[in-house]
Amino acid sequence: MKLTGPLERVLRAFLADPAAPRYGYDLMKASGLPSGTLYPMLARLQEQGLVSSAWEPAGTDASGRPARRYYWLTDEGIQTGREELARADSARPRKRGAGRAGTRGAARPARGST
Amino acid sequence: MRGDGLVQRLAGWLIGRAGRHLPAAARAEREREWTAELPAILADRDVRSGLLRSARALRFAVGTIRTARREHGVFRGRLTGADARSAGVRLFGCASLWLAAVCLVRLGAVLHIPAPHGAWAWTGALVVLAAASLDLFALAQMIKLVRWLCQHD
Repeated sequence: MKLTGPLERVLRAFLADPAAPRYGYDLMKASGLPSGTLYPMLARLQEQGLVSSAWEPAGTDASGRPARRYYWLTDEGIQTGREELARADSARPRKRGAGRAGTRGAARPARGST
Repeated sequence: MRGDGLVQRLAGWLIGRAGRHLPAAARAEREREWTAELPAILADRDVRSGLLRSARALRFAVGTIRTARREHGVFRGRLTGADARSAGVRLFGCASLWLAAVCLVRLGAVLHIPAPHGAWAWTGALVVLAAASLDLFALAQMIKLVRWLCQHD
């Protein structure tokens, strides 16, 4: 699984409360992603077995709104998500440091090298 | 409230358009899911302005078209028979238009119908533009058909 920025946001939204099932708009708000990015990602995660989904039982809500489809991370999804986020978090400061060192050493060509 | 109803209908229509990009097996469920999100967006208390909520609902609905196009690849990863059929119909339409245009030009030549005075440049440019567009469109349909044929090799 390649951890892209949008995927990271979705995983963080899910892992804020892994036990809570989330519906599409809820996830859109939590992750800040548009529907055109979120739903294909959810479909992909479902194909990989990292996310499960189910329809809420009809008549759950008293206001009579239509039943929603809820998504949640599977056990494998929770584990993979935590690992990927931990990896991303630990790699981030190193990357910044490496970037700075890189600009000092490599960005400036040595005099007379051209 | 009436405005919300209108937005919900418009968004529902857009979701219906999005559904057309999906395979029949997934269409109804996806449309149901997306339509069920609309009341939540339109009643979102975190967004104070009703206008903004409406805009959000419409943006969501437009986004489902993108989702459907992407998911079409996720579900199938290839063109369906319906895609190939519509490409064939469009290609047939292009060929018919070309044939009709050729017949008209031939008829004009046979009957010696004079061209409108001073309108040659504009007419010519329009014809070239229309022909180029038609050719590109027909080419896209041919590519689709070839892709579909390759899939069913």
